[in-house]
Amino acid sequence: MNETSSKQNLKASTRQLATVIDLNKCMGCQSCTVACKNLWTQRPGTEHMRWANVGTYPGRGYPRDWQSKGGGYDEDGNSKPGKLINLVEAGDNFQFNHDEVFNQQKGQSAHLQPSTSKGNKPEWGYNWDEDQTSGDWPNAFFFYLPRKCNHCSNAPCIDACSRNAISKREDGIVLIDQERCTGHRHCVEACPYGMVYYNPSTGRSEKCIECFPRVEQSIAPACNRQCVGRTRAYGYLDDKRSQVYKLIYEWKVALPLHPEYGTEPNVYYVPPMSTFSYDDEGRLTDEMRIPMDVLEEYFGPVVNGALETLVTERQKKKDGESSELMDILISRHWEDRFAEFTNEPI
Amino acid sequence: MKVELRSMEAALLLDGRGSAWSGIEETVLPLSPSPIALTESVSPYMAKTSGHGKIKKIHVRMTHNGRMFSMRLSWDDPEKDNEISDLDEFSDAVSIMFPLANGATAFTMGSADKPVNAWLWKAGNQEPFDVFAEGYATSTRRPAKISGLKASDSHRDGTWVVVLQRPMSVGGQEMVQIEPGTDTSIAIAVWEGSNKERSAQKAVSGEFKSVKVDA
Repeated sequence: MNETSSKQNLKASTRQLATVIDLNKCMGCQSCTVACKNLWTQRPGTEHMRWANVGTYPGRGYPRDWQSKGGGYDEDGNSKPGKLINLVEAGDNFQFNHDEVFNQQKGQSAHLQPSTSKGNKPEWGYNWDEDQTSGDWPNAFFFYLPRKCNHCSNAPCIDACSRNAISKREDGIVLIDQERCTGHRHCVEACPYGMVYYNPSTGRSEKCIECFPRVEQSIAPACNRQCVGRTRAYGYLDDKRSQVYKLIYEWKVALPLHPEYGTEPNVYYVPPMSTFSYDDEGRLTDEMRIPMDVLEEYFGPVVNGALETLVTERQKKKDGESSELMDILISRHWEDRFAEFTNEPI
Repeated sequence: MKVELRSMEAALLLDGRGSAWSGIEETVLPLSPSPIALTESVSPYMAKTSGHGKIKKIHVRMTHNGRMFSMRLSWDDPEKDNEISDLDEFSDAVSIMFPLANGATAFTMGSADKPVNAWLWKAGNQEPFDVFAEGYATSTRRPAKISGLKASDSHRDGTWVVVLQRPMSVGGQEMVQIEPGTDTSIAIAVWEGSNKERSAQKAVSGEFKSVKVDA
């Protein structure tokens, strides 16, 4: 078999599922994180994994410093080297001294405290820098960024796997074949989003499976469905009736994260309209508090146009006019967000 | 290189540091970093890496008793990597590969119509793997029991000693047959865990080398 053509075959799909997340509505509650963890990562060796996760940005993120880990492709489509992720960076699996505090009658002297899975005092962990702001008072800012595997159309993990164990399904979901995987972790290095994790118990790598057993029964993935903020839309990119299609292609307000990584990711974000900033005299201006160059780092220069559209449409609503875009984002009926994936998860 | 005929209990040879191995001819094979750029189409990410091939030589002894083939592999390795305690750690490993068809190449792990068979020992694993491959990215790890493959290991004073042992004649498909009086060929690969070596990031003995099997 010609290996290059086999990689193309492994990346091919007829359709592509996609998620849109509105960062204006995400409140960092971690319901997506917990929904995912309860379903998929409570097995031995997966304790450190958060296939779905939310971080405070700008920040070091999860896994720690993933935006400088490398991987993905350069402008010419050449693979870029990336790094492995260690246990601390991956959020670890903290242990707590419950027994000491609750059962050994040391309530007055022993305090509940975490230790790392190696028994040390934690220096970093999942969501460690929660709500830490950037910028200077009184114009401090941050936004929450929920993440999961992007099920990229040009998935570097597929290219990286020396055993051809990773492939795309017909619906665009990227899966690691747990039979073929032997845990070489080239995929961990290659994913610029840091969304592949090694399971030391099985000796294989794992990642978000896009809740495919649910999707096959027209049930939205748990992270999307369990989002209490109604921030998420889900569906096929080519489904013109879906909110996914409308937000990405018609309104052009849903943008891929770090498109410069060259992987064609399929989680899209409605960028955050931030509150207004104060000038030196303490007067409110009409400048958004999150600097545009910060947002451009995440979403590229197209974020300017997207924010302009969002502000314009929001103003229409404020002025008592109608706005299809705002109605989509308000999401009065949750079923509207998930195209055909509205079955109950029972 | 040759496989010496010795009428010895195969079980004794599983003790790699035991006296059963003394007197059996030892060959020292130089190892070099695998030509990893050749794997560009398999994994461009892997192909661009460098710094692999930390182990520079391996000591090889081979013997058979007419029924069982035994091989003793030893190499200097100050760092014993047999436990994975973090997500960026890898274990030491060694593999011996045999061609299953004339013209099979070791560097590519065979090809579509020229397969290879390999025995893979990984530090910390209960059992070795019996591997079948028809080129890069195609290798399949099969349980040792399908061919009766056994392994033992010992790390002492900065040296690994690994014994791999298998019946010379096996009934299954896609496994090398070793016959007294008929030459075979081998290639060896060593992975240094502390250097994060895995997959094609390894030290290799080069192309298949002919081995005489004493009758």
